[in-house]
Amino acid sequence: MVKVYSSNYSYDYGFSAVSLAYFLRYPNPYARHVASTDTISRSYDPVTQRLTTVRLHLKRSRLPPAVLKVLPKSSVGASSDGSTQSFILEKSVVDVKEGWMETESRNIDWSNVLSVIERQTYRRPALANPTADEITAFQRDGTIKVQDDDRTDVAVSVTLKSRIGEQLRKRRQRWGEQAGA
Amino acid sequence: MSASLAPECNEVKERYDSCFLKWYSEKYLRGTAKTDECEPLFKQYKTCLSKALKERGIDQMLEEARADNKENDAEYLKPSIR
Repeated sequence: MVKVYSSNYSYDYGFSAVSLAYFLRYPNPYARHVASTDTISRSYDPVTQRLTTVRLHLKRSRLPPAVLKVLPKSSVGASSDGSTQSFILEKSVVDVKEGWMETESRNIDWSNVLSVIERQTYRRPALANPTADEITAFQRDGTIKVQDDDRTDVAVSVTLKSRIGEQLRKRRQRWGEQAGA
Repeated sequence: MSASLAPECNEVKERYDSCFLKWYSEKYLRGTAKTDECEPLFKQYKTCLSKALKERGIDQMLEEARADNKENDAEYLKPSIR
């Protein structure tokens, strides 16, 4: 079973602030369940000026007792009180020259229960009315210096995929076949 | 600054993070970065972290997850034409 949610909106902050905030978003008082954040790899390409980062977040959570009863213990790896932890792998690419950042986060354990992939694209809005100076700068070194650096467009999509659903459906299908035979 | 999953790496992680954030905001975002100046500090941090990941058995899970995503990454994070 796959479900996709997506939405678009804008932040009232410039691209620099938004991309910096992305790297700084933990720890914060609204996400106390995020226990740690580690950078696994980071590479900077001086030619394209792209920065690629892979980070690993550790999140703690507690499963509601009802969910614990439904799911097989072996598949969730939770302790008896329902407290669990989950690793999230996050990859991001920033292109400061073209003014965009793409991110992807996914859970790397628990994926036998549910895999969640969250993707975000942050984009510096194109210049609506470039001045002569800005056009010259763009022609000279390909950079866009945004005058009114006060907006960033964001596109988010979340893909949810459950193998439990797949298994159930397969079983139901088998039952259907048996009943029809 | 966020904590490391390995407390023993917190100190070296904090040094690297501070360096990175300074470089990112003062050079990278202004388009004046020539090289990743914090790479030596990252190497120190990575040495500590790799050891911790191995000890906790997370390295293998990570390898698998990253190998799993190679195709995805190639597709999704390819240089895009905009």
